[in-house]
This record gives sequence, C-alpha cells and structure tokens, in this order.
Amino acid sequence: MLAVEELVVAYGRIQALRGVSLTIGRGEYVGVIGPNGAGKTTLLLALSGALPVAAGRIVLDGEDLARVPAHARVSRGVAIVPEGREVFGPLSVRENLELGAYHRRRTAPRAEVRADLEMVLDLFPVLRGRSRQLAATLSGGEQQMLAVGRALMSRPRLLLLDEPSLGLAPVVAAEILGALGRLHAQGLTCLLVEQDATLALQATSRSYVFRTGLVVAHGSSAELRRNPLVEEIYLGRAGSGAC
Amino acid sequence: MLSLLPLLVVNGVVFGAIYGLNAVGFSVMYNATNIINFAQGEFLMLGGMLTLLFYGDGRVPLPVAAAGAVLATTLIGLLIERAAIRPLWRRRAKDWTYIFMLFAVATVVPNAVMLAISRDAATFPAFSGTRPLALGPVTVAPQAFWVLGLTAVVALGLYGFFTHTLTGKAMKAIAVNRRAAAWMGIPVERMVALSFALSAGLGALAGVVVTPLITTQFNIGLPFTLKGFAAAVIGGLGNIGGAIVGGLILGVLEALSSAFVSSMYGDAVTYGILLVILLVRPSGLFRPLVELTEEEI
Repeated sequence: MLAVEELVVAYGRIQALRGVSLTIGRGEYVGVIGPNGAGKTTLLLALSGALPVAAGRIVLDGEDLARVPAHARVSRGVAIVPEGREVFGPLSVRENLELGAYHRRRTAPRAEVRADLEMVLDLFPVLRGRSRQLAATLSGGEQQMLAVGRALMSRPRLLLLDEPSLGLAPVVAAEILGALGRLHAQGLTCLLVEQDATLALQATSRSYVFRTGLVVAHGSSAELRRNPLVEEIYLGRAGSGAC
Repeated sequence: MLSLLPLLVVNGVVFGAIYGLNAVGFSVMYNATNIINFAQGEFLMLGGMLTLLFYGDGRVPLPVAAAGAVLATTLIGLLIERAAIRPLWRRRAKDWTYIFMLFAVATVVPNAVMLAISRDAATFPAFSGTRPLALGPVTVAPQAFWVLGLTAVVALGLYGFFTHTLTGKAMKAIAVNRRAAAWMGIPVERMVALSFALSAGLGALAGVVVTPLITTQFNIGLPFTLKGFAAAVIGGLGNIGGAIVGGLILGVLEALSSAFVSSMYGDAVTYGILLVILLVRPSGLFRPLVELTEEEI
C-alpha cells in the first residue's frame, strides 16, 4: 500500500532522515520505535506533507506523494494524529470533528458524515457529552481521543499516529490504544510511532527501529521484543517514561 | 445643547456603524490569518473613489458603478494578498512583518489613487434622495438607513458564516493552527485569499454607503483604518457582533465628545475612554471568535 523509498528530510543542513525505506501492506499495523531524535516524528510529518522531502519517494498505491501538498494528501487517504494532538482549541469538539471531514464536503452525503460522527462518538463515548465544549477545555486524554476521532472523520486508508500515549495516564493510554486496535481489526491500516517500545511492540505486528535518521532493524514486533539491539537502544530508559 | 442629544446620538450611531463595518473587515482577516490589516481603511477609500470614477457624474447608473467598485476593490484585495502577503506567508514570516507590509500598501494605494483618479474631495448622490425623514425628535438622512441596514445585513451574514458554515469554521481553524488545518484538507492559501477578498469587499461596501454622507478623497483611508481597528479591539478582535458594538460605542462617544467637550479634543476624550475600557477588559468587551490559548501562542 505504502512504500517509502530512500527518504531524506532535512532541517536546514541537518538531515533528520538519511535515506529511510519502509513498506506498509494494506490492513497492517506497523510500528516505528526509536529514541528521541531518531527521526520518527519527522517521518510522519513528511508522510503527511507538513515537511518537504529533500530526496526519495513516498509511494501510496502507485502514486508518488512527495510533491503533493499537505491539504491534498488527506483526500488520498492519509490522515495523521499528530504529536501533541493539535486539536483546534477555540472550536468545539463537534466542530473539530466536522472539520475532520472537510475534504469530503463536496463528495460525501451529509447523512454519511453524520453517521461517521456517531461512529466516532460511539468509539469515544466521553466525547459525546462534551460535543459543544471547546476542545481546549478537554483533558489531555480527551483531546487525544478527539485528535483520533478527527482523523477518522476523513475516512483514512492509512492512519499515522504520533505518540498517542504521550503524557497520558496508563489507563487512558490503554483505552485509546484499545480503540485503535479495534479499528485495525476492522481493516484500518495504521502506522504507530512510539518512544515507548514495549507498548508499540505489543500493539503492532511489524516494526521498524529508527536511530539517528536511519532504519537500524526491522521485523516482526514479537521478534524485535527479544532483539538485543532494541534492548541496547533503550537501555536505561526502561521505566523512565517518555520525556 | 442637551436638546441636541438625540441628534448627536443618531449621528454617532450612523458613523459608528461605518466604523463597525470596517472593524468587521479587520475581524474577518484576523479570524483567518491572525493578521491585522493596516490597509483596511484603504478598501473603504477605494470603494468610494472607484464608484466616483465609474459613475462619472451619471454616465453609468450609480448602482452599477457601486457594484463595479466593490468588485474592483475585491480584486485589488486579492492582488494584494497574492503580491504582498503570500510570499511572506510561504516563508512563515513573523506577524509584525505583515503589519509593516500592509502599512506599505496603505501608503502606496492612496498615492496611486491620487495620481490615477483625482486629488480632490468629491461625493456622489445619496441612494434614495436627501429629503430627511422624521424619526421622533430628530430628522435623519435617508442614506443613514442604508448605512444601518447594510451593517445589520453584513453582521448577521458573517456571524452565520463563521458559526454555521464549514468554510467559516475552516477559516477559523487556519488562524488557530495552519498546519493542522492543512491536514484536514483545508486549502490554506485559498482560504487566506478568500479572507482578503471578503475584507476588501466589505471595506468597499462601507465606502460606497458612507460617501454620500461625507466627501471622499484619496487620503481618508488611514483615519478609518485607525477607527476600525479601535472598534475591533474594543469589541474583542475577531468577534463580529463585538466589532459592530465597538464601532457604535466609538461613533457615539466621538459625536458626544466633539459636541460637549470640543471638536479639538474630541479624539483625545474618545480614545481616553477607550483606553479605560481596555484597561478594565484587555481582550475587549466580547469574547473573540478565535481566542488563542497560551499554549497555541
């Protein structure tokens, strides 16, 4: 479905991704793990169009997206749940969700968008009671649910998730990852970026390990859990939490 | 002197409505871009001056000339966005860069109008004649009703636009977080252009309805910019209803202070009172439509 080929992304002279290649098959749940500064978030920003690509290709179902502007990528089926959520704070929960379906405003019947809205509110019932509330007044976990819901409203074929558990209580993080797991079981393709390797390797079926802008290992998540390299990368990090 | 009070208030309300319309222009652009448009008054000036140009003492029917002027000003707004704003936007310039750029525009445009159209003050006929209508104790020029009617229609229309249409909400989303708005599929640059077109068109409309009450000239833009900005800030920058209320407060204060204090110190008294309002309520009387939380700034 998605093939990233020799992707290079630079901030000025500093290369954050130095020729990264990876693939995601339809319906897969793929993880990207690695320490801070490994280029995980950069990858998602480049895939979603927020960062320009210096070299390489991003091929989604045969089309190179590298030059497609960010606002056109969502209609190609790519949606992102960004790090830090980036919900529209001064707008209501409902308005945030409506904007998630913005690119479908001319193509989807209203009833279909409304049905999707119901689906999101069923997935995250806590949002239902808060649909008129401003997004800025939600708790961190609720904002994360809103960010996921907003992305789902675009009916993505590929969902990019950047540290959805960051800064959340374990119970809340588990609830969100559980919901994502159910969506994946229904056929949604997901790319999960996580600093918390244990969490990511449990949720996904296949993973890539990033270090300093390169893929240093990849394979089934179950195997990677036993891979000494992963342990080495994370040595001393266990239990310290993400920061 | 007190017997003049009703007349002064009515006059203040009429001019306040014009300030309010201009303030709405500020708010529309601010809602979409967080840019303070220091050329807003120039759109008002262009609306009046271009109508004069097209009207040419009756060669073209006034409504046609006015519609042409609003359209032309809208196109000029789009041109300014394309030539002066978009290059900055693409390079993620700091907010103050836009202010400076628009200030430059506000200097160039009046000079161009002076050279290309006229340096003289002029006006065109009121829309529905000049026979005053009695309204209780005061008589009011029929043009005043055009001003008030247009203000009401614009305010209601824009309120509906920002609160009930997806396009209006998308505009607000851009002001809050440009990157996230693009992720939603919102074409950010096209929306910014739309906000310039809207602001320019609104400014031109204000210029068209106010010109028969005053005279217009190439250099009236700046005072209207300052008053429109003041009205927008008092009302809560970005809040459409607040912009109108801010304009009305400013207009009435101005009318009363120039009559009861002195026309010389009128502005000083007006802005003095506005200062006090802002000291008490720094973010304006009403909640801005797009209120950025500290985290987003």
